[in-house]
Amino acid sequence: MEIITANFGSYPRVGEGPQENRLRKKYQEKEEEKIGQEELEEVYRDYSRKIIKEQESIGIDIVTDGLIRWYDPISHFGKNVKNCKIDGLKRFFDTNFYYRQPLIKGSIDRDGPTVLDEFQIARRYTSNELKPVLTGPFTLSDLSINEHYEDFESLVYDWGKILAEEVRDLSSSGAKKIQINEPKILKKSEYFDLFNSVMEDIEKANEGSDLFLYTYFGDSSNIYSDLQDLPVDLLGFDFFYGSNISEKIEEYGTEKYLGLGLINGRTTVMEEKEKVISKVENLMSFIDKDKIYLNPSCGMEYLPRNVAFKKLKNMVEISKELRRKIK
Amino acid sequence: MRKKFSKYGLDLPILPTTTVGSLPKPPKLKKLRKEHLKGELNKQDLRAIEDEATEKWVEIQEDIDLDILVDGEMYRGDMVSFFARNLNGLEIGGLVRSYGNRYYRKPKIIEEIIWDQPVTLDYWKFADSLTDKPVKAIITGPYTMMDWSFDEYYHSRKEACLSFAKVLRNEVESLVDSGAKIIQIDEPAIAVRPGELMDFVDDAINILTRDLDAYFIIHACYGTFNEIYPGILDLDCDNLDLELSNDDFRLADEFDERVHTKDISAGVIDVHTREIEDIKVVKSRIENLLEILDSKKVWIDPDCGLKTRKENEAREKLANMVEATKIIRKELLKS
Repeated sequence: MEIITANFGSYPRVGEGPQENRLRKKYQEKEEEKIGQEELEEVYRDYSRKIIKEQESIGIDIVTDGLIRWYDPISHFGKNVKNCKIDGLKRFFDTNFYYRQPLIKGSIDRDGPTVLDEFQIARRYTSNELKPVLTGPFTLSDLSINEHYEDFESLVYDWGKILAEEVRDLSSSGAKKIQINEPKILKKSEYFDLFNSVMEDIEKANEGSDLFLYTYFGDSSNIYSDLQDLPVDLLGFDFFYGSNISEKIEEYGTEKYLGLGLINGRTTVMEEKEKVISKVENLMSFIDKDKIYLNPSCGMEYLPRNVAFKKLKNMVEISKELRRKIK
Repeated sequence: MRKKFSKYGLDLPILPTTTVGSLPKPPKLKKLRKEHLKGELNKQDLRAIEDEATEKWVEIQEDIDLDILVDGEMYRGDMVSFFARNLNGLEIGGLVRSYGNRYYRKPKIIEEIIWDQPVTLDYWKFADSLTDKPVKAIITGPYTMMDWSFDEYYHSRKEACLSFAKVLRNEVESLVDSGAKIIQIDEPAIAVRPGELMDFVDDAINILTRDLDAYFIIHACYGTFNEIYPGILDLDCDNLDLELSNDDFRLADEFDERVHTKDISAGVIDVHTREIEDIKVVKSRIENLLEILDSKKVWIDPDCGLKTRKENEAREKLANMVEATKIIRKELLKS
């Protein structure tokens, strides 16, 4: 099928009215020790199911569980890691969202899976493809406070090992596609060789899943050709930071599938269908149409729920229109 | 900067203590605010309860013996949507997650932003009338207003930010005209895109503060401060209020001699933990800072607003902060 649509990862977990605020309320009750983990878990499951059904109802091909259990995309991965404590808040890139910093006190080592359980629970709720999402080793390393490793490289390698295990577990448990988010590599491209080498370690642990690598919150055009060398199957791009990425795709073509982040996850302004369609059509004259995925530019939880829903719906309508045109 | 205070007739001790702004709302007020939003309670009735809560917090701050008081922001939901509701041109949007289980209603700019009457003045005047101590007036800054709103009207971040600055200038003028001497501009977003600091944030702050006779504080928190230091020292203000304890004082490592060009309000209380830092802990935090900073140029406060804490937590945290500061003051006088 052409122009496959994929959700990016996160989905707003709170909306309007008591039903859509139930998770928020229960989470607070759990924090105040009024309810136990089991009761919160029930709500998580119910939410995962609803969020997945919502994506299915719109017609999204590759869905996610909305990452609704994640405190944030950084500290979530420090939860089951030895010698990693969770420290103070810091702003996540240039968003209005804050994450807690992993504080590295010794050699880090995996203490158990992180995303595997979430994947196994959520996959029951859909017959569509469910895509687990991981934050990449480079971003995790750069956003950690390192009080142990003598050099940054060693920290990246150790986060890489932990994520490789996660990829091994997910791929052997049947995840057909696994997404790795690496926004930070766009800000520190001087480390690209290191990044490449860690991605190779991750690929070695992969037991047959397609690996998707998404960069966002920055301009990826400077490293487009380097990204093409990574051992991954799909490269995802944010089209809203710098405008050169289309030119790079036209210039270099692509060996890999491309996840076109043409739906802006950071603004409430709705995409004009025609504009997106013409961008994709233009790219189709340079690259194979079978290589194109359409997705938001980043996770959707920076938007209110109703806006996220409308944007995803719009995205599916755009892909349908493109499919019609291709035929 | 102390000159300004003697000119204003303010007699502040060394290491003045204050809070960043917000204080916990009583549960009753929270409930009534919800009723008001649903249209079940009129504004006057809500205002009466807000005033009652403000009175109580002014009293508590006096009891704790803080030097510069705040009104506690009993009338604000969050710092951005409060202003968005009270300026023309913005609409209140849906809930967006801020961190953990905290959400805020992210406003949307839908047309030209216009200020037609003071937003905070009345509340400031009320709190100021309750005490002989100075009450700090607090507004959310233009950069944060821009960055924390969706923009469906202006063409660039710069245009939106400078538009906010122009309208907020009216607010600042109204406060200064009514006698506010200490004005804090909250800019938690300030470090978000470091390149913008010198591109237009400096202009925006200048629009707010130029030629006005008041002591200006800029409050910043939870950003990548290292990326905007020392540029942030060039902003037109007297005092930079920085969150330091959340980050275990790593920010302070960035300071060099240039830091002495401004007064620094040093956050020494972590507002996101329930744990009450004991006096010894706070004291050692302040002592560590004074190894780098000049005690004559330091203010002491928590990292950020305390509204997410319970009343007793906020009260105890602040009391320990003031006690620790007093011990250090005594020691400084001896030496």
